[in-house]
Amino acid sequence: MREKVKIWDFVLIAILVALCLSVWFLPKEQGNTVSISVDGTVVAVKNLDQDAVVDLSDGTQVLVENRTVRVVHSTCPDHLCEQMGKISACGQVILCVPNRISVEIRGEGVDGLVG
Amino acid sequence: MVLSVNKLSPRKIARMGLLMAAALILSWVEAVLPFQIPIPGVKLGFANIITLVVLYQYSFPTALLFGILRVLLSSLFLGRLSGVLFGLCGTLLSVCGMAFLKRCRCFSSLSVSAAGAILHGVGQLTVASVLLTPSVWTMLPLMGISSAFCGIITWIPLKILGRYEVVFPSDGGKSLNKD
Ligand SMILES: [Zn+2]
Repeated sequence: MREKVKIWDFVLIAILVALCLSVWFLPKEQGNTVSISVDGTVVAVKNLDQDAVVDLSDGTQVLVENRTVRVVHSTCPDHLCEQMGKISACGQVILCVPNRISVEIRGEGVDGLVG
Repeated sequence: MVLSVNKLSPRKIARMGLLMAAALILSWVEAVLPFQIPIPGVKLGFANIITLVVLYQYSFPTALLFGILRVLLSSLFLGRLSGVLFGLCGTLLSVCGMAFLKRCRCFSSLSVSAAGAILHGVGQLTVASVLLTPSVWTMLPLMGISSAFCGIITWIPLKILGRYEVVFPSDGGKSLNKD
């Protein structure tokens, strides 16, 4: 363990971080709808233009307000989903890993409940 | 190779038990901290310090087994079984990557720690993209930066531990495998 930090360490870390950042430069489209899924199955799709509150069967509450979406209440132990804040751009996601819920913004315009 | 019974000396078993206990305590401390990083899959990764100690003292297969057991035990103790698949995939990817970088002589433990943290996050995102939605990859930039940061932070205590003969014997750990 008596080794020194080398220049290659910084090169490698910079390259890895740059690779992760490259996702940011993918083309983005404007978000129109929010789709809420449990276990990968879509349970609700809402239009971003209309403010709404979505209550899921496990007690999770998702709020659509001013074209932004956030999880306002969750029954999960860590509440990370609530702390993730608002999303509004196409492709952005809020996850609740313990409850297997994903909330994502999509580009296409469908409204109503599915499944 | 290393997992063969004749090489499992009582000394190694005792040391592994101690290291596992330390790793589980660190996992618990991290779980009860009042502040959490609000990005799923990104953790400070205190327990990874111990996995790194195992990797540097023993070998890749031992570290892999240690990492997998640690994820299973900590999710059992902390009651977070929902995250076990995420943790396993993250650990698998991170230990493999760390062992590879350690073998490349041009990198130090700083790279090993930082890349291990990033790969841990990538593993978690992979599981999330399969189980939940592929859109989780939009979290990659945020996850990459914060993981790299965490990996560098947790490297500091590893470096401090490295000064102590008890943790890292100067013969590179050879004495640890003897009785
Ligand atoms: Zn949650």
